[in-house]
Amino acid sequence: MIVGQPLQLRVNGTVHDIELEEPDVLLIDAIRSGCGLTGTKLGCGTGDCGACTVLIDGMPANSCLVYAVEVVDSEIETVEGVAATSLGAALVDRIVVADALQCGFCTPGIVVTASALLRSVQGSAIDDAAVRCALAGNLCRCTGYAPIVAAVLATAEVAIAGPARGATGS
Amino acid sequence: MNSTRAKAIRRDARVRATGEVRYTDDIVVDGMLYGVLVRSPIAAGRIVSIETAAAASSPGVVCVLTAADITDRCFGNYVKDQPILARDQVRFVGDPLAMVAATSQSSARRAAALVEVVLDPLPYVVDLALAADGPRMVCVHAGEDNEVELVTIQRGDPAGAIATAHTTTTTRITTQRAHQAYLEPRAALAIPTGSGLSIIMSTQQPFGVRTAIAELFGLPESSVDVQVPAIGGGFGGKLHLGLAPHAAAMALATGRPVQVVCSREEDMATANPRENSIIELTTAIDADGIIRARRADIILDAGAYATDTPVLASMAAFFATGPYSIDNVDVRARAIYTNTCPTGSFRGPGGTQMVHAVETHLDEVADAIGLDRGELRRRNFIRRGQRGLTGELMVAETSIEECMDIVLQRLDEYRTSSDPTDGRVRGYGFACAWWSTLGTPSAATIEMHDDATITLSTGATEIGSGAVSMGLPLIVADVLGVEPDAISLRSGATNGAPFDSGSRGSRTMFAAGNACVLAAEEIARQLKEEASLLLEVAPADLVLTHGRVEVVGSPTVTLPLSEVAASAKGRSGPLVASARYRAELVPLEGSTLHNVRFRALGEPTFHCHGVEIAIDTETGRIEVCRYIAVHEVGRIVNPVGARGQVEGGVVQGIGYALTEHLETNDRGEIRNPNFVDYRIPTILDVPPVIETVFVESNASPRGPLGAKGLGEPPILLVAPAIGAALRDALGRIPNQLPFDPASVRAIVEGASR
Repeated sequence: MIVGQPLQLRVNGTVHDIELEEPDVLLIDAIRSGCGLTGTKLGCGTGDCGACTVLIDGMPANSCLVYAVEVVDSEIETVEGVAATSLGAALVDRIVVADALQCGFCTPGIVVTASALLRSVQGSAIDDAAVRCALAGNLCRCTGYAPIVAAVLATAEVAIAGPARGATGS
Repeated sequence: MNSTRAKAIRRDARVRATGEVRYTDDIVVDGMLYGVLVRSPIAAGRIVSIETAAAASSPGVVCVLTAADITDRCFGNYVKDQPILARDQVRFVGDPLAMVAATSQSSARRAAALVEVVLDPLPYVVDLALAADGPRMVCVHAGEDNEVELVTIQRGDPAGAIATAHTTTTTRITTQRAHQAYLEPRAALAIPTGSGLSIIMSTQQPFGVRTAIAELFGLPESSVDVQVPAIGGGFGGKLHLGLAPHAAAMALATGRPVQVVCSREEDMATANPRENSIIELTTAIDADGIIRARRADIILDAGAYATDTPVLASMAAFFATGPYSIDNVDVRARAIYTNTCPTGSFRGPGGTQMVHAVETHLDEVADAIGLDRGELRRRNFIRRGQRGLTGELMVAETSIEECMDIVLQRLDEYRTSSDPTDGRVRGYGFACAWWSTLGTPSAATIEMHDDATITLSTGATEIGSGAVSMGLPLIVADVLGVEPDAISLRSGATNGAPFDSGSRGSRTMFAAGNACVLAAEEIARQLKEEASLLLEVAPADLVLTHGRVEVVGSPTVTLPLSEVAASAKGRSGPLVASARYRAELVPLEGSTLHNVRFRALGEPTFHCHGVEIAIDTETGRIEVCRYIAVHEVGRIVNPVGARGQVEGGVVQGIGYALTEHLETNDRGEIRNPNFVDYRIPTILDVPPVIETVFVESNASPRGPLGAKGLGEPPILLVAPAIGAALRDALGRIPNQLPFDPASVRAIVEGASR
């Protein structure tokens, strides 16, 4: 990064020029304020709740713990990008059907984290324990988690059975 | 019920899952400033000086306000004791002293750090028992008693019954502070509108915010509007005014929109958590296991300002007996000021610790007279025709025994199917409770358009439960014989819909639902009146079904609703109806009540939970293995949503029982204002399955489609059920919550000595 020049971040396949007020701008702020992508939520700011989860080169990360300047060479995917993929859309469908959200504030982070899991195992079976392990860093205060696990497992079945279908209307 | 049981999809679910929906923090308006509060670092002190010049000249700063710059009116639902900014004196660590509005969040934070505050420390009290009854009283509010509220309920002759009883048992329990831990920190955005203010805010009761902001700033209520975007959880914590007064004061001072968003740490240290409490219960019982009398002495920690605690004291007093018939009652509940963060409502407010205390106490009573814990309850359950402690008549069947029997049978199956090979001790326990459904005011307006689509306007607030986005359309659809999809919903803004009391008290489906039913019935009447002219059939012979008006007994004589709606508009006027609802006040008889703000259940609901736990006696760690939740809440309108309320509430209850403790140190500071040290359950901390059973034998004659309220009860029974399981395994349990590893280990060591 060169002081005075906009930072270039590659988010969901698009390069965004972001004017940094300071060098220590966090990735979550760059995404929300700089790119205008507000699906990524700030729940705690300390990496404990997972609501701000994004994919950095395919790996889930808490965007509240990463400086924007650290990821200029990386591919960032937010919930907006993930939900637009066929797998992400299939997961969203199943979250809706399973009633796996209430207030929804944690849900984008869960969609992102679970999508990374589903991509990593695509074509092979996963079980309840694998889903719970993957989502251990995503707090949900509303649902009690059971329908979230069900939605992820249902998506995995679809992914094994064949190409995931796109989003259907609600 | 033609459509209500269909597996409907929540209309707002998809946009929440994809992140498209907007929460308060996602909203940016032109010219918006960012507000940050400067808070007291000490529990009590006289304000010597506040120097703002350095902050005011910091880059990006538009204004710095102290108490001298704003209204001296105070706010509070029951006692107006809380200033927007401390004036003369601070009363808790986190009491706001000044606030800064700047063009960016970081500028505002930097400037806030430059505000120089000089405080002269004053004596303070953070210990609840000391503040209530200490020998040398420190007054949190100078010259005033620390007692915010005193509630008493008396019935019969408790002293006489206790003096002559076969056995008397006393239990003393202390419970902890717990934070609602909604994932979205509190946030508010105030926008000056020329004549008044527009508030965009994550709040559970926008109409209450409107009233309070209008009062505080001397504005007509009609010139303040409150809009509620998506709410990222509340659980009672967003019933309070929160940051609205601060955002509003800065917006009025600058003439610009001002947004204030809490950090997690600030939220956990300065919001309004569930109050800690000290509860002493005494029961006098006969040799045959009939409870003769109950005495209760309850102390609730209000913190530095009253907020909701006056009504919480009433609720705690009310829930001192539980779903049992007790003729002789002596209850005293007090809310007490301390120099700590003000407490307030959290799901099942005032009652969650009481259900824990009452059920734990009953287990000790049963042990004291050598009676089976289920049998003791069975002999004392309140029945139809009996009166509760405030003198409320049970007009309908009480279904608590039916709920308990389901749980007891399932626990037997748990016991016989458990094969612990991991060295941990298993325990089995259950707990019973009753709860209420608030019938506080609500109103709704329904319009049917020419194409027979419908606009439903309700003041009710969608907190995330689906009660508004799913439940209310289901109810209206049922009355009008249409699909829920035909109904568009207008809610979440005080200027777009009539009054509602807010998302609280397990009331939305019931009270807002009843207002919707009444408005929908008037639309049905208008439709039938018009169709009766068109079909030349008496209105009483018409029925609304499948989007049409049909003649009863002649289903081929029928008109589409669109034809009727268009015809009605031309002949007698558009199809529109508004209705209002307030539950009738419940007559009380035979008790002496003092300051009781919560006087009756109105719609009693009944609940029993059972649990299998595994205890690692080496570490003191408890795992919840299997769980069954049985609820009688009338008819279930939305089965999927109802199950979600139960599972979510049970998991919050597991947190309350095992890990959640918002700790205040002896300087009045919150020790653990983050999600590492304040541990809410993760996906690895919950049982794989929570069995949910709804007993639907007792539909409410007054509820929409027979429904009663469900939001709060699931959290109530978890701690006492786990406590009972712990007692089952170890013989006794800690007399405080949560059951953390250290306190469980202490019991294990005590038992082995």
